Amino acid sequence: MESDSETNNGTQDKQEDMSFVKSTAEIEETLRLFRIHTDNVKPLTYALYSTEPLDKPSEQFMILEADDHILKSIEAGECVSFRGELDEPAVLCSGTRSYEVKEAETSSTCLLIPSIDEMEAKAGDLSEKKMESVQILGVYSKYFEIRECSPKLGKLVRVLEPTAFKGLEYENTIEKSALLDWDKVKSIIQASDGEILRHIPDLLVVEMNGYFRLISFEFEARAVPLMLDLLEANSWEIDEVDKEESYDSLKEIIPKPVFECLFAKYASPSDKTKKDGTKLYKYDEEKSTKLLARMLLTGCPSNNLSDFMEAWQIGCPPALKPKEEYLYGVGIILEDDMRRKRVNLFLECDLSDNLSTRLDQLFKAKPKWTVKEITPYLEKFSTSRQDVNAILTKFARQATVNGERFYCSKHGR
Amino acid sequence: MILLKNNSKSSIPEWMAIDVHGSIKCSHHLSKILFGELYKKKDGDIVCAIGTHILEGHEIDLEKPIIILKKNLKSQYQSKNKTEADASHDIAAVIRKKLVFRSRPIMSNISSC
Repeated sequence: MESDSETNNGTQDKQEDMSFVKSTAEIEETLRLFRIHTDNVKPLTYALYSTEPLDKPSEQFMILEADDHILKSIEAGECVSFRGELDEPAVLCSGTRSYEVKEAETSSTCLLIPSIDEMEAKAGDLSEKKMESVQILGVYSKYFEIRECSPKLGKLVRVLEPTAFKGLEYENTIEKSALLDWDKVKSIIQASDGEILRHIPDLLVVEMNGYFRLISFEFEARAVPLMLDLLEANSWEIDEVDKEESYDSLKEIIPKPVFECLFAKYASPSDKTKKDGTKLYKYDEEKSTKLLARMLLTGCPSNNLSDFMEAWQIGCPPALKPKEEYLYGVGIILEDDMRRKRVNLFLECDLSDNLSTRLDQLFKAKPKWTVKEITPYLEKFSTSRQDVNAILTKFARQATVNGERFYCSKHGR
Repeated sequence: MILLKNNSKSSIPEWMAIDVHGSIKCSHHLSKILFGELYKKKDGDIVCAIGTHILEGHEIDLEKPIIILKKNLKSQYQSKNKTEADASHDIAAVIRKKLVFRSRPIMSNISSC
């Protein structure tokens, strides 16, 4: 090996990098001393040197274990970024996927060098042994790894709440500086562009005049009944809703993007078309009646079930038939000591975002649930790997009463 | 938002990692130090000579690619004053291969060479 004296003199130019490089004869001598057969060794050999101390990780680099999707996105020139605010754990987003970022550590030390395979290819065929100096570019033992996660969109509703759309007459009370545009949404929401845009209609978020706005429940509760009233006013059959005409009748009250969003939530194309071929629509019975039930229950949170069912039917257009099961997610049906049934307001969105706290809340409100009854309350925790049934199997106890399957608290009475 | 910026005109430079067990201790901090020498055998095995020690190993393909980001300290500093969208990390390289050593170092029978 070279002695240190060789490195002491000289300038910091490329020439000096050569100071570690051995001649062909020296390489062969070294191999002989190491008892390695010269013929077995490829002609190009390497002297690894560093200009930085090797006992400290390089501060200039961040090491990220990615995956093929991220790498392909970068290579294709797509936007890949870390998102979120300073106090949040980092999330890495491509155009379509989100990943949690976690720090990991290895017990070994990794040295970074340029690819020696590439150097070998560049050198071509060599007739005799040659040594090339290779600079160690960095050192690391800690790195970041990523795991694909579901987009974190809960925050979007929270940050848009203060500027929620309540109706055109309230628009001048909204602070313009508090409104969020696409750039702002992108920088604070930890989800990819594709995921944000795909999920915002489900969250009742629309883009209006360049800003992202949440449709408030108050406005939804005002607009949807007006839309449903058009059924009777125009004597439309349930599956003969004319979208164009609905919008025209209500455009004074409901702005276009809000109408589009609400209409997409409550109606879907039916099999019928108009004479000129334009599509006709059909209101979703469950969603529409559920909204009306929520409005009734918000006004009066506890009711005798049969009285409630009567009032609910009166509130609905005659073409829509409320059913007890449509209450799941907005109200719970309880039996009192006299076996009289009551319905109480119990909204999914009022419960905790933490699964175990939510299960406690659910079993406290009602000790025994059927799968169908509890599903709307647990749906948001289901993933491709764990559906509602799996969650219940894991966190609840199963019981069968009179042939019907119920779930109750794992640790309950 | 911190953008991962790819400044390379053609493909991202390819680096590799040498995985050495434990940590490295440097007794002196010269401006330039020799770490060791690498010899590649024709069967693909790698010999790394560090001082009078020999490490035998081979190249492995990484299951997941590793991206080396160069922290853009200047833009991070600026981002405090300007909008956060200005912050970015440059992509310095990608690693798909790693040299790993299978055994403990072998002491060669030479004291100097």
